[in-house]
Amino acid sequence: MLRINNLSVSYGPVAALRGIDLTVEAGETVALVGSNGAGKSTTLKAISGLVPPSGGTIEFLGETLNGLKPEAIVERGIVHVPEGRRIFPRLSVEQNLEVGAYSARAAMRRRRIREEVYALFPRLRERRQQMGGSLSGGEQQMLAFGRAMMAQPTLLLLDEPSLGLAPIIVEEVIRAIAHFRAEGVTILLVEQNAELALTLSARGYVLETGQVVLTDESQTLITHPKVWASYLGEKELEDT
Amino acid sequence: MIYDQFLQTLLGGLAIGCIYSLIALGISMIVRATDILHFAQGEVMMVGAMTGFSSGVWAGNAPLLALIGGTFGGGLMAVAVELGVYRPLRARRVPLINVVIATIGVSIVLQNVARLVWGSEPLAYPALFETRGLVISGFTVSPQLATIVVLSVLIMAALAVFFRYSRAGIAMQAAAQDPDAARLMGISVERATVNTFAVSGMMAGAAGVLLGSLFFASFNMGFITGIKAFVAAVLGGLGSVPGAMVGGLLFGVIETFSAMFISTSYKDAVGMVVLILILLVAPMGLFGRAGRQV
Ligand SMILES: Nc1ncnc2c1ncn2[C@@H]1O[C@H](COP(=O)(O)OP(=O)(O)OP(=O)(O)O)[C@@H](O)[C@H]1O
Ligand SMILES: [Mg+2]
Repeated sequence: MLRINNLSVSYGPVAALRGIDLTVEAGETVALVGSNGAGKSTTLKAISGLVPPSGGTIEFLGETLNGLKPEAIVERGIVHVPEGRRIFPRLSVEQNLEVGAYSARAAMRRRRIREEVYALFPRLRERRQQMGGSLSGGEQQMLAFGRAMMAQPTLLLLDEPSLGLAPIIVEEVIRAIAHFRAEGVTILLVEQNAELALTLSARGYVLETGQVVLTDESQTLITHPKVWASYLGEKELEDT
Repeated sequence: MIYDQFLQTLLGGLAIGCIYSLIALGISMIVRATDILHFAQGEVMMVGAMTGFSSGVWAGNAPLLALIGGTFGGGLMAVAVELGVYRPLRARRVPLINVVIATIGVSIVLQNVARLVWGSEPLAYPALFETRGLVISGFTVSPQLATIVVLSVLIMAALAVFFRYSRAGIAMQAAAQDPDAARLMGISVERATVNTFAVSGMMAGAAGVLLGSLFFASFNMGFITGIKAFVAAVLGGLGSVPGAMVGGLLFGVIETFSAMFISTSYKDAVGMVVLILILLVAPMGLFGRAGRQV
């Protein structure tokens, strides 16, 4: 479904991605783990068109995405939930959801999907007139998921959905991811919490300073020392 | 009758204040969406006054057509400067401060073009609205001033409805609050920015027709009015939409009363002194929050 070949991205002189290969098949949940600054967010931004690749290709359902604007990529069913949730602070919960269904492909069924969102997260219905910026971190994450549901993704890119959330809210995140999977949505999941990402996925990639250093089934990765290295830092592992 | 005179002055202040509000609203919307301080907003208003004048005359002194002509004239002019000047500058990553300087350049060019097209003599607007005094429960009310207030309130209410309920309005706010997140929802930030200029230009254009009908239309009417609208926007808190409305009304009323109680020649200075005093007490303006906020 998604095929990334030799993708490079630079921010000025900084090379954030240095030729990564990555594939995601339809219906799969794939994890992308790695330490801070490894290039996880950059990978997702390149797929959704927020940053231009400096080399390599990104193909989705046989079509090359290179050079398309983010607006055009959303229309193809790729929905990116960015790091830090990025709720519109001075729009109400309901308006935030409305914006989620802005693309032409999502606009038609938006009333029905909104009911589904409210059914999955009753808390959002209670707060539908409240400004996005006044929600708690956990509620904002629910709204971010709600917004993604409104967009009706084929491929969902999730960037650190569990970041900074209490364990009880992480349960909600897991529930939301399960909802998307049940709908047949393909997911590329970025997490620093490698354990969480690898329990939720079938396969995973480990990224280190802009390169894929390891890829395997999640079960295997979860016990692999390299994965723990990205947690603890290379140095400490060498020391042990 | 002193009470009657007070009411007249208040109504006059509110009417001129509404005009400042309409211009200030556009200034605030543009700051929010692009961080640009749009110093040509007064000239967009002037262009609205001119195109409104021309379409009103062309249609044989039809007030509604003057208003429509001015509204669209202002909107088109604002879109033209965004597409022709500001967007190319932003695309070349010109520093923001230089884009702001460019808006001053645009304001001067627009004045000169208007002088070329409409001449340098002030154009007397045909009496668009009833000018004879209207007596409501014992008080004489100027129907012209009352019409300006009513029309302005209607325009601002329409704007509020547009922002709250329409997809385009919500998308414009989303794009202003977090452009990248808006892009990920499928919103074209470029188009949202053009829409912002269109809406703010339309409001300025309508304000131009109202102001022109009160006095006259001339190529240099936009400069001082634009500066005052800027003051109104800062008074309310630059970037805040309710702030721009309240700031404009407040500034109009203060200015009109100071002209009555102190002197017409000093009313501009008094307005500015009040601005400075308010900023000393409330540094971010009454509804303060500056510029784009993510
Ligand atoms: N806008 C930018 N300008 C310059 N450099 C950037 C920019 N964004 C990211 N980088 C750099 O690119 C590299 C990869 O960043 P990226 O955000 O993709 O990492 P990440 O794996 O998502 O990290 P984290 O776990 O901290 O979110 C880092 O070295 C970072 O400093
Ligand atoms: Mg990241």
